[in-house]
Amino acid sequence: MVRIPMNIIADLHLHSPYSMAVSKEMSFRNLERGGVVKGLDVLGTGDFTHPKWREEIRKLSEEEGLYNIKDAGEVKFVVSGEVCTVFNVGGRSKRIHHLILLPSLQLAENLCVTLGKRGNLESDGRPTLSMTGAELVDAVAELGEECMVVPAHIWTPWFSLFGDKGGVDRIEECYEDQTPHIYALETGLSSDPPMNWRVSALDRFTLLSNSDSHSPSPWRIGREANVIEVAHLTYGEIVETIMHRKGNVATIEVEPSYGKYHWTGHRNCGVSVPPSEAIRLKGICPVCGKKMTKGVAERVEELADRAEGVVPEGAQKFIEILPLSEVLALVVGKDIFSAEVQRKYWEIVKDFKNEIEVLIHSPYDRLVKSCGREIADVILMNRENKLIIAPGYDGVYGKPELKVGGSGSETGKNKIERKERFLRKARNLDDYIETGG
Amino acid sequence: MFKAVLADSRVWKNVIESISTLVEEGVFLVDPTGVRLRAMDPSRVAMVDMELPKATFESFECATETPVGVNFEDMKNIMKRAGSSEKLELEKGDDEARLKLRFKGKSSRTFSLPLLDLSKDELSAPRIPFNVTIKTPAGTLLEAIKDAEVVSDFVKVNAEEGQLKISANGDRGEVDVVITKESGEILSMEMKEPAHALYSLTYLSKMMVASGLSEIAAIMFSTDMPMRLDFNLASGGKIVYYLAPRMEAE
Repeated sequence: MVRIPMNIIADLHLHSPYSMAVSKEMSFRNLERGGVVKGLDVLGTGDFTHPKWREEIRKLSEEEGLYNIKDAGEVKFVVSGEVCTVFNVGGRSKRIHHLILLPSLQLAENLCVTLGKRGNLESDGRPTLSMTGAELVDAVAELGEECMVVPAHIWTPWFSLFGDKGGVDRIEECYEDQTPHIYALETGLSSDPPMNWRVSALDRFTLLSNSDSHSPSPWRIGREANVIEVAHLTYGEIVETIMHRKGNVATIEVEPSYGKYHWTGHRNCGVSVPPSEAIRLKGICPVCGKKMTKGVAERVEELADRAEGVVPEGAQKFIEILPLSEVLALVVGKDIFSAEVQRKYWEIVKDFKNEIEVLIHSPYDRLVKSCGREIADVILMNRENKLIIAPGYDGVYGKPELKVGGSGSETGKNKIERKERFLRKARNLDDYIETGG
Repeated sequence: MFKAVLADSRVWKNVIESISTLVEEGVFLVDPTGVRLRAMDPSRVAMVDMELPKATFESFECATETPVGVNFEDMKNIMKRAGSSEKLELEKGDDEARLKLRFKGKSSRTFSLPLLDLSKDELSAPRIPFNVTIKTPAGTLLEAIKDAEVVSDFVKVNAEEGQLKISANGDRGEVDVVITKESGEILSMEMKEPAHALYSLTYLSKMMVASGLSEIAAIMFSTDMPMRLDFNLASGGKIVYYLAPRMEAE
């Protein structure tokens, strides 16, 4: 098992209740609670561009670029936000999301003056701006060396740097002469470091993983996060490490097939296919004939210039693990939001320092004592990447499945293979046409 | 080069509509025997196989095989301008990258359609042993398909002795349409064994566009196998569709 240097764990990308489809429970108080239960040291504030959320940030205490709730303060907050830039490249419209990290609320105010001229910042916590990626980086970098733009969830089909719909093929097409100011890339749930290693042009960047959570609950925040080795817990130290010491940044990932856009597929028809099959089908849904949503795996395949399995020099460490709530849902056989899963979750984490301890560090005996053997076994399977996940596609999360032993039992992998065979066999005319004379 | 004249331009209009419902682009192969086209829809679930023999045309001149690649949407838009009593002249010179469509009625109107350089690899038709062949009035089949569309996106086609049952069910309800020999709506029926299969209504309804070209539809299928749907054109020639089955459940 990869040994994670346990320094600080940071989830730098989430949203406020002023963004669309975000839980009304999203508040700094609830984020503090969720962060403590999960085991996170640092969270992004999210949505600094929204004036009402800035009012909330202003109520926090500040020390060395990190903010915290005045009477609590176990979790530190980094001023962060996400914007969507809309611009044209070669006559085609691009819509790309960027995460911004800033060392102070004052600089956030200053930046909002500039950004406010390019779009309505009050309309949404993640505003849409009429400006190029390069113009955004220029505006941010002008505020100081510690101000960062990180391309967000870079492979997601919609609204991302390399996304199939509205993205680009080369980072320079988005950030132009400002590309040298980009130090890190957020890989998103549907890709993991090995997938990103397949594109050699990304070697120089620090890979980050964040939750992009719309809820403060511990089953959403920190499901992806960064383990950052720092000498002192300051904003400057965090950003300095991300920018210049990628070897000191490891990531906590979910298995990429858990992500909502891992495979190519069509949600309405329940069709999902791996890259090779998607290419064979020319991206067309075999059920309805409409275009499928190209998954991250296929998009990586398009841009890859390395074979699978190549580990580039300086590659960061990472660990893949599903949230505890998913593990419990698997054991209980119910939804992660079900009362039974929730009850078990709180019963377990109260016996430990936090969820990360349960997931990654706690010895098996201790787990058995607190959770019972059945849950402890699945927690161990989770650590050892033995859980099988039916890949997510077209906005549908991947579905974890228990690998069932014994003869005659069908594993999740077998189910997927069967589904692939089914798709190939039954739904187009090629199977009924004799070829090659 | 080739030059062909159809006495009624609406025949070509209907043929193009029947093709464009499934495919965006395709290659007509014109040779001394007539015009034919075989193309699959992008999802490769359905195929259209069209044939207009030389005799369909009022006059027909073609010395050598000539591929004519077209965008059917563009051609359909031109054909919307066809008048009810106009002749249609199709003409392509040897080195021309355009097809001339000339409507001849009270006046002579000539459209010029840019041709596409598409691969003319000829597709093979599916080779399927059909256990059931039923001929029914095209209008009867069209109504059954429309009924099924009210409640579902898929239709189950079931042939038993003396009857064809078309049924559908979904969140919006259920429907059964039974067409029997006794009612006279089954014009002929050949059955080696009973058969049933599920098909996409999205495709079937597109195929029924051709029902305007033919009084009679011939349905051929076997259990869980593709369907073949034939429309013989009153003016000569035929349009044949193939549709892959949809499996009922994994």
